[in-house]
Amino acid sequence: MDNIVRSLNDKEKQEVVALSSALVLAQAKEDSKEALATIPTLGLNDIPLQGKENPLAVKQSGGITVLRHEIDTTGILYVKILFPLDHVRQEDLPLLSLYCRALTEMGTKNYDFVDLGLEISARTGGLDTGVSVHSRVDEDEPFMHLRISAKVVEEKSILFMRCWKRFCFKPIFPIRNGSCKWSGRTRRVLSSPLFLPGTAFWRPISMACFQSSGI
Amino acid sequence: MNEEMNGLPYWDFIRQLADTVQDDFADIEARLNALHASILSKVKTVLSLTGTEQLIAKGERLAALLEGFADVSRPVPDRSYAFKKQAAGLLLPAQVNYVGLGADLKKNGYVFHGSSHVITRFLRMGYLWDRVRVQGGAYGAFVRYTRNAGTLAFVSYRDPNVERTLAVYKDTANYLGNLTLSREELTKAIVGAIGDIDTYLLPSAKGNAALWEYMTGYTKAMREQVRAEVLGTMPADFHDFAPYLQKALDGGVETALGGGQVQEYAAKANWNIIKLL
Repeated sequence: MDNIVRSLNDKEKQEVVALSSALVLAQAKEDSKEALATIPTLGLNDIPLQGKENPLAVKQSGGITVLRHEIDTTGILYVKILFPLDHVRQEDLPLLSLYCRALTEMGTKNYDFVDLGLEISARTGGLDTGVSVHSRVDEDEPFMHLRISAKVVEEKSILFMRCWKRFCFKPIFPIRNGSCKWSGRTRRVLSSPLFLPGTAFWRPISMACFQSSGI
Repeated sequence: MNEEMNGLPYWDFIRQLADTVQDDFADIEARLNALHASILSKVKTVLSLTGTEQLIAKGERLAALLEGFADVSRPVPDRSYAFKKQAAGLLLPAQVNYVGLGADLKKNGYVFHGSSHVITRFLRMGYLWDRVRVQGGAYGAFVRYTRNAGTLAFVSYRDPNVERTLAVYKDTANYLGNLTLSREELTKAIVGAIGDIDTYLLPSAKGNAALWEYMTGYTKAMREQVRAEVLGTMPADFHDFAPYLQKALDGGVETALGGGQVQEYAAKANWNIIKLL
């Protein structure tokens, strides 16, 4: 920079100063209506009157409702299974978060949590569990489901079925060698949503607001 | 339900469990196993598959596995929640606050109309943005209206204020009632609301959206009606919303989570004080 300054004569320096001043003024000046009108914006006429529909076909298979969403997913099958939870006793509701995480993170009777994690990673592109609470349109009464989601590529779909059987049919929550192996893990893993610094705190407060409103 | 599973009762439950699980694991194990056994039933079970026809055909083999579950219908317990409508200060060692105000529009006579999408978005991106974020210094602030429950909640995020933010929330109806909107501002608000509705979805998200539309009974006719109401929103809709909001806010419930400032305000305003940490 010093070299550049030294290479300029007085007239050139004054030109630079004048240009800078003009630039500052131009940037501070409000844009004219004409200039603003050149920025492309969306108007109401640009919006289609009909929204796009999401693909859905419903069929029944041996008492199971199967929802088919036919769409190109570049070779990935997305699976969601919903089990109703409306029967769960009030006192067991806080247990559901623990249960969901235990399903995938605590192992099964035949797999410890490391092996189960490896199995899930090898057979799927991710397997997730959670509880969904919704209500039907314009109805107060909520309903809830255990939600098991997975994604799997075509060639592993059969392996995924086997993984699913091991994961869901076998008893879970083992006590190995007569001692509890996962209490420390329980404490760490299960309380993490509330201990996350900052970002998670909106949740209890938001919940408290909705609760106070009578939901 | 959400409160029991993710709110303060869950917080209490996890803390108690963390203290007792080492010595009393048998009880929690028995409860988890009973829960597991009760959940695996094929009654009202739903399998949702997103992919090409070929992929879905493979995925449908899962239905055969699910059919193997017991065909048992279990009774639904009575869930009469007795919520106390009392303002609460939730205390923890923090220098920022999370300030909320919940209000029930449905109980105060408001019937859902698509214009509420435009109004709440306008409040979020304009009124709350300017007054709570820019002027108040909070990291975020939003308002959420839930159609089915008819409730509306204001919440701020990493907020240096408590009382000031609550005052902004409570003045919302007054602001809406006296609002003058130019055609350009109204168009922007409508386009923004449609942008939320028409947000881009990846293929998996489209399947997920279709699943929950089916589960909640949100039909094509309802979607079209809401869209038409959003597109047809007029300044009068903002003004008409204001009295319902005012009534709801008058009976609203305040909640704040934070440190000393929350404690001080909670004591002054005679809130219920709950020490979390």
